[in-house]
Amino acid sequence: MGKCGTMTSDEELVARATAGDQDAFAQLVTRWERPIYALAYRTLRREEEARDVVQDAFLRAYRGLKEFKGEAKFSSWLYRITLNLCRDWMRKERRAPVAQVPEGVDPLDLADQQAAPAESVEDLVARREMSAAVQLAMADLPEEQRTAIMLKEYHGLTFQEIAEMLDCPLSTVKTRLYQGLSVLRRRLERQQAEATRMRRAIWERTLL
Amino acid sequence: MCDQRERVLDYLYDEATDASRRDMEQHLESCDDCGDELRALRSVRTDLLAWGVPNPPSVWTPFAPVPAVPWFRQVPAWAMAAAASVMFVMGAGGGFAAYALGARGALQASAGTPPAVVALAPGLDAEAVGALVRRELASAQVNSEPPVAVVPASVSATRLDPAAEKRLLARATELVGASEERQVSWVRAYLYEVGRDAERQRRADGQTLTVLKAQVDQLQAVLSQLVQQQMKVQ
Repeated sequence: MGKCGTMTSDEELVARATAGDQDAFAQLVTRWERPIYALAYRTLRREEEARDVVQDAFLRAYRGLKEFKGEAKFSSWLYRITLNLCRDWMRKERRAPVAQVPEGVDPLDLADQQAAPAESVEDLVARREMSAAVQLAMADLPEEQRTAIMLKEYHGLTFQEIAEMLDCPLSTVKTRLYQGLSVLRRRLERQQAEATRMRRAIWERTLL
Repeated sequence: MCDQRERVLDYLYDEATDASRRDMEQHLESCDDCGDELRALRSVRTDLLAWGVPNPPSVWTPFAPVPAVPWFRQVPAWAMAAAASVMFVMGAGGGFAAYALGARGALQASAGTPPAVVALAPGLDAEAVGALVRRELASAQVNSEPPVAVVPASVSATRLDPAAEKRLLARATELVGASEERQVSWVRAYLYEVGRDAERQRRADGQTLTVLKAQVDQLQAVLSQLVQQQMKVQ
């Protein structure tokens, strides 16, 4: 979140919302619903459930405003609520999140996205393959490594913020992040090699 | 093997202090291990960017959550199944009527009561089917009663002796049951085949598209070379 001169800080909005100003809370929602949805979606990999989690997270935040002492940042508090809700959901479902990984490439989607001319078909195919590969590789990581990577990579939190949010030492955060990234790297390299081989096979079969 | 994970991470995410960053830069000039490590980590970070998040119009509705699911998705599976089975029963009812007509035709030849035959078709058409649909919908969740038991309401108006009627009914129930089973498994197999073929076609199309695009690009390159040569000649 950039620090514009005119933008009211989260802390101020939280103070006003706690005093009963619903508009202030609505502003907080507008400001944070996308990141919260992204976190829930990447954790659960299901759109409907992620949306439910966002609803619950803001509802809980609203009800809990009075208990929020402002020791952490509002966003960290919100992230923590979201992660807890995601964990509840996964526990309730008694299973690991199911990856909604796109298989191959949908020609209809290709046609749709032709409207954005910046990306060539190859790039699009490559990006979608990569997206699927990343989702698969992330799904196999232990939850704590995956969470560390998500908070760092997709939400730009500092090591310190992650450590506070997850109640663990700074060095633990770094270890989880490092191990997770190393595993991802090996898996992605393997998947890319596989994809290249398949593409070559298809290419040869088409030409010959 | 140089192992400076924490420092490499700090440097990678730009969370190192100025002094530590300068140290790392100096270290990188002489240490290939750390250089390779850094490059690999950066490449993973780039790969991670490929995973985008869908962009729903609005994620949060203040204090009045509205279901984001279209109404037809909210119809529970059992109701869908009920609707499907109503459609089936209507079809089966028609078949049963034809069957009963045939049977009764034979009986009537001896009993000599033609008007009943005429009365049957409209009775089944409007009232019986209407009642059937209502009843089927009402009891759909349980779906315990065999649908055929409803149909003979109009049939019972004719003069069959109870035993013959019972036998006829049992036979018809049997036939409809068997036919339903056959149809269900046939439809299942058919749907599976259609789905499988569509999926194959979809994949093949995607691959063809990629290959075609590459070929077009090659042709374009050749063409532009030719044009350039042509221009040089001129």
